[in-house]
Amino acid sequence: MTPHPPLLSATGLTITADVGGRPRRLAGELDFTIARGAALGVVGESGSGKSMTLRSLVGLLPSGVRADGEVRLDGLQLIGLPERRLRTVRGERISLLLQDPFTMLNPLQRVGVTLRESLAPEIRSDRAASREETTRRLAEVGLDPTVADDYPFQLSGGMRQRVAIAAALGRDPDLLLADEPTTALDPSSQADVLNLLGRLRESRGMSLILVTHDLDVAFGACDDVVVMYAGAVLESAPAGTLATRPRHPYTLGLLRSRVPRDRYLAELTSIPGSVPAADAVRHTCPFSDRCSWHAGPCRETRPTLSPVGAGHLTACTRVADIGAELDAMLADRDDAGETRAEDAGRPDDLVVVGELRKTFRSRPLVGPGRSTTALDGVSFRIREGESLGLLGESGSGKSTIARILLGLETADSGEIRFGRGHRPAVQVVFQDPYSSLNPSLTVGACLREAIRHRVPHRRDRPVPAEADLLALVGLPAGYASRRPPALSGGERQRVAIARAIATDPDLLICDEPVAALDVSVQAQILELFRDLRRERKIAMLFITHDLAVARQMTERVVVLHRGQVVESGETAGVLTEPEHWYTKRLVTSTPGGR
Amino acid sequence: MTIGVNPPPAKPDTLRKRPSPLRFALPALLAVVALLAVFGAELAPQDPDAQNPALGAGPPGPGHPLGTDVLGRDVLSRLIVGTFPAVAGPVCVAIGVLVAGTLLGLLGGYHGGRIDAVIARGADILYSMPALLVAIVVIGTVGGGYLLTIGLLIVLTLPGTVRLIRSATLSQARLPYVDAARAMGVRPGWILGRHILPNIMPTVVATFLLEFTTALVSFSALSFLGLGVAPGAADWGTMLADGQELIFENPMMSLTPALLIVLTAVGATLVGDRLYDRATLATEAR
Amino acid sequence: MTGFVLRRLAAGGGLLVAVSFLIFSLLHLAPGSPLTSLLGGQDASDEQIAALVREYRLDEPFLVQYGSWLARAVQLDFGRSILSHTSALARIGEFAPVSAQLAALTLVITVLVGIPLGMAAGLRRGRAADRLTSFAAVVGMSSPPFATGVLLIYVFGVGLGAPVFGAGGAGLDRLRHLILPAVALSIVLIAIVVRQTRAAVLDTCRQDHVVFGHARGLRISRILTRYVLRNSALPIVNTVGILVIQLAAGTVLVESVFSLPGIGTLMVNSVEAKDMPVIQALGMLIAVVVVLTNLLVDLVSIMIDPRLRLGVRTSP
Repeated sequence: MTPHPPLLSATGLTITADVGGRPRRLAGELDFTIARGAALGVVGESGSGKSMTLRSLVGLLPSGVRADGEVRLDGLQLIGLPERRLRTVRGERISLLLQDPFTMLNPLQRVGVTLRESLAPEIRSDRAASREETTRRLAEVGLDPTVADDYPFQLSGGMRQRVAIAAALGRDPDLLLADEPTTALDPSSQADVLNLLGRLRESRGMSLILVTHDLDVAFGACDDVVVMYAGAVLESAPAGTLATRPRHPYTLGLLRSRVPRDRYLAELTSIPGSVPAADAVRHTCPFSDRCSWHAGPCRETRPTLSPVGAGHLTACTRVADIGAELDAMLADRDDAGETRAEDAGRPDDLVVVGELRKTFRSRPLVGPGRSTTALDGVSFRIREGESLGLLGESGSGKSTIARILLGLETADSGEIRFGRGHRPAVQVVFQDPYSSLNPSLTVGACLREAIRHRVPHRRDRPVPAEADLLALVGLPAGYASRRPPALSGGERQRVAIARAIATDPDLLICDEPVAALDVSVQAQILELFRDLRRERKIAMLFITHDLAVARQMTERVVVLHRGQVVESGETAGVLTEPEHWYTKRLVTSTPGGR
Repeated sequence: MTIGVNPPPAKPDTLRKRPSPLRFALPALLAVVALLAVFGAELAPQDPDAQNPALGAGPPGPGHPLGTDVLGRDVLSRLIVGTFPAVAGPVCVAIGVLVAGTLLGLLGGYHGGRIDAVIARGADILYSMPALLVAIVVIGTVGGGYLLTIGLLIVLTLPGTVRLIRSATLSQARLPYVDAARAMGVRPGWILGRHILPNIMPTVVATFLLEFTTALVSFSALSFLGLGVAPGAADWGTMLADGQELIFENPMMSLTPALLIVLTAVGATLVGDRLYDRATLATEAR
Repeated sequence: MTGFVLRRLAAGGGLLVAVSFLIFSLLHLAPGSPLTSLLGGQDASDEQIAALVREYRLDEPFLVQYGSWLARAVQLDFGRSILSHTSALARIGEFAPVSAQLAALTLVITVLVGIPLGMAAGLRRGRAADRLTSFAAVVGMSSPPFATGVLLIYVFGVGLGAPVFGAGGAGLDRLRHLILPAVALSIVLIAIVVRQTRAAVLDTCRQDHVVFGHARGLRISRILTRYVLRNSALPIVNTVGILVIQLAAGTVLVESVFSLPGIGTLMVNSVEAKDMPVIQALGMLIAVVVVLTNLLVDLVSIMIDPRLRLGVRTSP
């Protein structure tokens, strides 16, 4: 098909980790190619092996991790190339951009130095030329020349990521590898950085491999998309084809798991179960355990990619039988969507927050102490049984409000009134399921502790049983004897929810409860929250930066910006017709505009 | 030249370590030292205090595998009997430091505020003092005694442990699971004992053996300088000091206690390292 | 910047006052009356006793005594040594050169051996060379200078007949006499430096910015110096404070083993003879060294790390 040979092609690429002397496969038998000037998206959830695959292309795997197979860059075999030769490839031909802009730049070096050292030696050696070039490079990524004199810690996340991009492109490579380059950024800078990458690719005629967990990011920025799952490529196709005619049940599941922002869905779809380890599914279709179409052959051999259309490959062996069904299910979801049918809460106030202020002070070793205003006169109310969204980016003060309501922090001034006259019981589900459970306590012990701390004014109700609580969050009773490290992220979040519910709270604060979860699991947890609300009439304060989550989970939203409420009202109204410029920016900036 | 190119995986070193002969040798050595400390008097082949002025200091020979000291006493027997004073004090110091340090560290790290400021500043100030020199001056001028030495060393080595436990506690106290427990109304004592302590156990264990090693060296240093234990009593440090003057007559008399001090300290350090790694792995992979 | 230095100096001054109080209290804590302590068990005429009482204001309340002692201590007057009958400071001056030379030699050996060894081990993590170095560091940490010293004396003195006792004359002879004590002393210090450097380098190598440096094809020499070494420097510099403390304690032991006429020997002798003025002067001297070292460490840290200098912005 392609008139020119591809810039880079991988054949049978396999990544293996050495764990205690035993090899464990992280990704296997990968085939993919990228044409000169093209953009390839690699989409996958955690454990898909996508990041390791990317790093293997430049020989920067962690120690104890090995790559085999063939990766050819203009015919040059990269796997097994000696370090000395690889050094001439890195930066010059292929460059790698990492995920976290906060750790990627040398903290002790000014931005100008970082840029200068990344330039080609002939420019670097000439002082005047390199200074001029540095200014030009900063302008290319949309930064002011004065940034060169700043240290990375003086810049925002988005600016740091721009600096990193400029540094990665210092020697004008043919191919840029980007590993989740926008995941650590706030939504508004995410779109900027993605647009910048697209612009640079066009103006430089450079190729791009973009690894992401977000289908919309890949669709928005890439020509072709490869879907990885548990260390295998399951499907690859042009972005438009993949979005409208997926030919693998997993891709369909991912597409259907996306939480829409423009409408309310009465039922959120998800893929049941969780992602297996790549090593455990070496000889079967890795998705067969979670697939509703799986048949005998799916479990017997590892399916290989076969063509189903122009540039479209799938690893599903049953695609001929189920293709029509896949199309129907995708269309079905696109038709769905309705206005909310849920009880919007009773008019009585549960909590009224008035003019809340909080300032944090820090004192550096040298120089004057500085203070950060987290909350600058925040007022809002939560009604009995309603779900209120608290929408904002990092630094908006939304987590401080949660901590104050939980009694973990005290406000400098302002008042919190309770509609019932007494302090309602408040519980919380945090973002990170890995640190919100004590790793040394069994699930049962954790729940028993919560049961012992039930709310005093609810003591007349029957004592909940551990098994019932586990059943309520969809976990088998046997999980009571397990400890958190043996659970998956989604399972841990279920335990955290069970713990919160065990105390029988009046208000449940959900602080970004799905932000750290895999796409296919997020909807499971959101549905669980909805079930709990239906059954128990608990009021919820849903803290999130994600407009889609707010749309699905809340009746009203309060938009926070730098410790101030800039807009509030009915969720549907605020998200479709925002009034404040900041809300408008939030609404227009999410990639893909789904 | 591929050194340093790759970020190592975030797993403890031991994962890929091959079992070494030291794995069994060092715990065995510690067990032998413990036996000698407890049953020293019964195990000594001769009376450690029996003098033989006619013999005087002499090299190893029949009846005296490690030779004799200046009073003709059997070096091997004195070495065995000297185990108790050399080891018992450090064990007491380590236990004292462990108990006091863990309590203070947990309290400061979890409570924060003024209490923590006092504990942290106090630990910082004590930490910047040369413990051994302070001990020399205080014991030398105020007067010695085994118990005073133990007490003094507990106070002087406390800050290191307080700092370690405090920072371990701090890093746990910041985690959301502690916030969740607090929001639920769990009492602070329960949070500390049931939630935080089990998770910092690796640090506590490692600290105990580290403090034992430090105290072992400090104790023998003090008795080497003639402070700490009563003069004339058999003790590794004292024997080392006495033997050093007789290095040409009977080198064994100074070399063997030196070797025992070093080996015991190495054993304790390595066993501590291994327990730390294992406890860390256990917390991570449970 | 000046504000910071002044604050630290004030804190250091406060610490010195606290230490001086404890040091002065020693005189009263020691068995027997302060007067007998100051006389050092020697017979004295009534006149001499009266002079001492006047000098130390022994007939006045404790705090007044302390005040007058402190006032003179600030002027570097700690009284007369009981052993030498010269001023305490002059006596320290006699013994200081050997210790200063020993300390300097030890620090040079420690830094030149410890940092490169620790870096090499950190960069070769998990390999045979690293394991050997790490094991040697554990042994080194567990080897008190007096034990190492005895071993060195046995090997070089008994075995090879090298000069092992005393400080020798000046110049090269002094160096020859100090080399073994310095080695005995530096073994513990090297072990500490190796462990800290290795840990710091390991930590730095795992950082994203080092990987990103490789990803841009930077020269290995640049990554080692500007990335790994510079980012590891902060924890390494912070161990210098610990080194100085270890050095002070180790000097006492090593000088005793090798019969060197240094500060350590002076301290042991003074303690044995209850020579209070010298003990007090030595105590203050060591406290001043510790305070100045910590200030220096803070200043160097600030120079290395701009985040300490400019204050970190917390929100992204």
